[in-house]
Amino acid sequence: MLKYFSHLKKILLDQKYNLIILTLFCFMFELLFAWVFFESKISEVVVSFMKMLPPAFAAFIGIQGGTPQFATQMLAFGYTHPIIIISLAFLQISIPARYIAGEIELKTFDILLTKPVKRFIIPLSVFSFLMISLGLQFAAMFLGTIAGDFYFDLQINIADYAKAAFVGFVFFLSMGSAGIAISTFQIEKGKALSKTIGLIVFLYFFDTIIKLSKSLENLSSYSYFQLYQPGKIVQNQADPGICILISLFIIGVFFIIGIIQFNRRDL
Amino acid sequence: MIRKMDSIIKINHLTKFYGRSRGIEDLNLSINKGEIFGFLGPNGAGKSTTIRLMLNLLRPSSGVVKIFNKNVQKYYTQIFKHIGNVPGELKLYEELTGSYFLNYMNKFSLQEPKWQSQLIDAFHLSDADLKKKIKHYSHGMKQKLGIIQALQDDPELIIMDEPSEGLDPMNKNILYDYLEKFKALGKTIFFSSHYLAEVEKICDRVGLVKNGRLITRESISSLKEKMVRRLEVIFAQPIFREDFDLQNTDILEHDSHRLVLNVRGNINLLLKKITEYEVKNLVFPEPSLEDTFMTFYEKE
Repeated sequence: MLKYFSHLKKILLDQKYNLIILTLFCFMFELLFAWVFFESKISEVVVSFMKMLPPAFAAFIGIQGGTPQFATQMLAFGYTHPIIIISLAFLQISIPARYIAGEIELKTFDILLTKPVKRFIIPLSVFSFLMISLGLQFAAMFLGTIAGDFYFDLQINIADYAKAAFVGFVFFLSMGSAGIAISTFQIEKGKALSKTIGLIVFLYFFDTIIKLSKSLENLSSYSYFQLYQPGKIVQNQADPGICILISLFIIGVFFIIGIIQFNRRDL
Repeated sequence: MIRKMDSIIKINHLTKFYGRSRGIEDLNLSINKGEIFGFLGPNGAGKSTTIRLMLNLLRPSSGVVKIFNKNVQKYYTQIFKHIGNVPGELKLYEELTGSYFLNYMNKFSLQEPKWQSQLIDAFHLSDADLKKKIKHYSHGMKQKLGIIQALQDDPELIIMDEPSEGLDPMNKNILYDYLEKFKALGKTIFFSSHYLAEVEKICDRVGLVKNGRLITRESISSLKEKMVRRLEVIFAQPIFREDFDLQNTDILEHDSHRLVLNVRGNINLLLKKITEYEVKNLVFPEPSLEDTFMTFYEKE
């Protein structure tokens, strides 16, 4: 256990600035989202703009301007805004590439893994770091929403956002788990990064096409990004339990693949 | 605890292929407790591959490595409690400070860092050096840190892949002194190098590897006996070339008063022949493993 904590501590120390910046960003983003759309004059512009949007695009972003659910939808959109998706996915993609494939590339494991250390400690500590970082980011986002609700009196159901945040936590952790599995097959950080990014972009693109195309609507249950729909969760249109279960299954499968592959591979 | 035994490392029919390209092939080796074993070969001969297989960093295509009589692939965590390793391409965590790195590595071995402060002093690393991030270290300082982390936990077996790379002569001597000290304490040292002089200086036995195969295992003394030594003699009087055409000599240059030749093994007969003439000057340098090494290579 001491060895596991030592390695995890080293990753945390390495990434302390990234963690602090991303956590603060997540908090401020949700708080500012509440302020921009409910307190500032911009909200009127946004509502008018939303009304003008083509129905397919409004369906894509999950917001219908001028409806009674506008506030709820708008805040939920804050959890899936492309900037937030990028900031949440950033560590999930880059950390496995840096601390698994990157260390194989740099040959730093030539010292570390010739100490009495079980190999699985490496993917396990990377996974633990991803859990901690996501936990902090989603906690910050949720606190941002609570602060927004408190200051601007939005009258939203906070419990729904807690559910959305938890679904997001396991969803992005499944992305990190896939990143770990991919990285254990690579010997270069760059290749691990590009393959993980490639996979995520492909899945996001697939989800976008399904959302925009009526004829492909029936494929929506096969889309990975359908597992993270905060807009639907806060409006009780999606079952968070199923999203969590499927995400946990993905986490388990990829994490086991990662452990097995890292244990058997040449370093 | 390590049981009392003769062989610390046993390598049986070890083969490693990277796809179709050869790493090492059918390598057999046994290293005894308390010896310093030199592992010699040019770049690409398979030295680092052998070491990486011994350290479970690579999986063998076939064959077995046993250290302390245990299979490395199965019992690596038990085995590595007693091993100190200096890798060939030494890469450290650049963002850590020197002292954090040493303590970080020590945490994984779960042993008292018995030699740490002594080695830090010996290699002249100051407190200020240890507080600096490793990325600000010179190549030599990184190498010192790599050596300290390998030796600090009092390992029973020390595996070093070209450890003197980047060290100045003074620090090389400090390293050799410590290896002698560890040997005197009954530790075993596996020392890979392509600097033949240092192997000659510190090793008891040597293994020569070429094209992934071990071509010979010799004690340093028997290796020296097989060595080809160059001799240059300047005579005060004219000589007959035929007098020096012996079974173990090759005449390289000669004129009426000068002779340059290679001699292999016993030199007594040659010396007798030389003393039949009046000698003005004789140049007979210390035998170098380099020449012997090349001789083995040429034979293959």
